[in-house]
Amino acid sequence: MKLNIEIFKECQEIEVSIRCKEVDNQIKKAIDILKQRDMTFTVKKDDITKILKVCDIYYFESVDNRTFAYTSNDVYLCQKKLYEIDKILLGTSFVRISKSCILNTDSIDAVRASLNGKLECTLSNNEKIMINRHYVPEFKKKFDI
Amino acid sequence: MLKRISGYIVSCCVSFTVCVMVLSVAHSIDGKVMEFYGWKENFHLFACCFSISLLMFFTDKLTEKYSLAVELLVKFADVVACVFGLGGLIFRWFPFDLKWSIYVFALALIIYIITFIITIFSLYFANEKTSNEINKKIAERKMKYEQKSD
Repeated sequence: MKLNIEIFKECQEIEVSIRCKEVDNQIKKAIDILKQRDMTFTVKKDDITKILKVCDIYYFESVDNRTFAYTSNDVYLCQKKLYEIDKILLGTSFVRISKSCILNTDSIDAVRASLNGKLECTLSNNEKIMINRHYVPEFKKKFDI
Repeated sequence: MLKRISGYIVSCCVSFTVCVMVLSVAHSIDGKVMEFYGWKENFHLFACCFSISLLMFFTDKLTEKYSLAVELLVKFADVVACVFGLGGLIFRWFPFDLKWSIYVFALALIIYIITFIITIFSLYFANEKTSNEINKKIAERKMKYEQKSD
């Protein structure tokens, strides 16, 4: 694969063109990564509305019918329901890890097996999060295992 | 799906083996348990183990969103239903009185616990392998990222 990068000082918006014979899985993955780069979510904290980049979000969690977005050191209230977020983030680095949580696999530092059949993830901010054993196969797919 | 089915087949085989082992140990203690155990009973026992696995295949879909404790209770209910329904009513393994019911219930509980421990440990070792592979991939990702930022 050839990679060409052209730098223009007058460039207002980054433009990515892919020239290929057919769109295979690798190209699909590359497109998903590029799409994820520009994805944002409108969130709220202390009545202040903010736009969060998807790559800054570690995970989404649903608690008492409300959805929260967790970053490295903050928690925001998200307007969308977890199933809506699940649909939006299809094909990105996010994966469902329990009925109430969607995790960004890019935020994981390490994974460890637990005796109750679950996997324990340590995130980049040292927070620990459990992956329900029913969601382990989908989680493995995110790492091409 | 195929992987999931193979898991239930393994579970069926493990429970059958554990059943035969526990029954043999019980027979060596009181000399009565396997007195009338022949080739037919062997097939009956396998049919019972198979139906437990089959029942678990369906009930697991119902309990997959609940805690491990709920899942374990439902699975044990599957075992009791098959042992008493298939073993007791259809195959006539034991008379339906209080003494025999307690005895069979205790045996089913012991076999269930042993099978559960074996399953948990095999799951743990499979997850341990998975986590090692994932950690390797994470390390590779980080190395690539560090090389790019250099």
